Amino acid sequence: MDRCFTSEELTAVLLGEPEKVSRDELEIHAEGCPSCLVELSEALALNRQLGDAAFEPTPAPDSLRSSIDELVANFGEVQVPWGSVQAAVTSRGLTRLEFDASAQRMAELLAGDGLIPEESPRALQPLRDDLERYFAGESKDFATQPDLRTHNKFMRQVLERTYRIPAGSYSTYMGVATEIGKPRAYRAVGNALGANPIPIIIPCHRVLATSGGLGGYGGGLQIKRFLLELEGAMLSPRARAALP
Amino acid sequence: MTAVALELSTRGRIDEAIDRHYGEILALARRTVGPTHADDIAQEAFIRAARSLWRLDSGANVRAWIYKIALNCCRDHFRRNKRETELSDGLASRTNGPEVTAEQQELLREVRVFLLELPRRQREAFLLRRLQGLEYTEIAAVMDCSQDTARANVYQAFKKLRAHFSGHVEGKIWTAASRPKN
Repeated sequence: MDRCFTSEELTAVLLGEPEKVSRDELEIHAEGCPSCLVELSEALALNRQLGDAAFEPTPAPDSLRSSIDELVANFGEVQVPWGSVQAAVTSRGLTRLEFDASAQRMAELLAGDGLIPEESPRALQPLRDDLERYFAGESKDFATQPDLRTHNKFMRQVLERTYRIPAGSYSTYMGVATEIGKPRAYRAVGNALGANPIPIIIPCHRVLATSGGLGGYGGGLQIKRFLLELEGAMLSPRARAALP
Repeated sequence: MTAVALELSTRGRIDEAIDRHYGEILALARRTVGPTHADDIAQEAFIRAARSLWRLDSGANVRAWIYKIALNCCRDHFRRNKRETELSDGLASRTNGPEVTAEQQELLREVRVFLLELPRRQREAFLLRRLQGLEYTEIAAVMDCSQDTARANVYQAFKKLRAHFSGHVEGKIWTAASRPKN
């Protein structure tokens, strides 16, 4: 080449991507051009020192895979007497049960919880067995434990307390608030139970209004009534009158 | 629901991504934030990736997508640590490889310090191309830009790097007789 090379031409050679000018051409020119010779020598030396664009194949630590295992939430459809619900289990337990959600919505909710959604209906078989026995009136206990780690402390307190209300009995929002040591937070308890991520298994249907009324229910009051009757709860006349 | 109805489960895709890309993402983290935090950054990148993999289209470039997440993790690290980075190691992807001499380590450390002073896009494009060996199509996907822009950023960074180290790197000046063949 009968002219000095450009910075771009030199960079292209250093990156191993020459388009118009080869390294040989640069070197031949540099032999007769002192300033280009210095520039080329330094550039090649620097490039050599940077080393190859390489990395060692490094196996990931086991802790990474176990951290990921901890976050996987297997979800799918589960049949209930009034239709079907979406449910999700992690290695720690049941993390969500949604009355009215598509698979897409369920995946979004789980991702919002910071979990890794995995559509895997087979993983829900223990829950199916639990629910089958429950709805057949054979058992009121669930072998599937709740996994509440993605919720804040207050929410966990409310849900854990509610989880301990035995079938056939009930409490009130005020009662739950008092039990967790926050008697004035009964409205917040109501809100927390309104957002119960695992209805049925965490029996928010066993929590009624402090006034004696039925209170609310995310799945609809007909389902609340159905569950309470299934469990044989002895409701107050006012609560009974409020049943749809 | 397309994303979760694939033949390979999400967990399977995550394992595949880890098997294929963990080493290079660790190298990227080491070259960007230094060795002490590199493992944490690499693991954080894969956990973040695992959480959102279900959204990723089956035809998407997983490698570019993980690089993008890893660079975000590096940026978050710098934000948390106010750009503080430990400088005990250079750009070498290995900590103590016998092939990396002490002199080279020192130069690579200086290069990394210099790169931190460059505009972010130039620094990242240079890292991805020259040190990680990504193709321009992949760099464009990682940086959400055209291939031409990616290339321009790499070239700008390399030009500045050469100018900065001009006279600092011992280059052998050859003669016609001693010119290296490769």
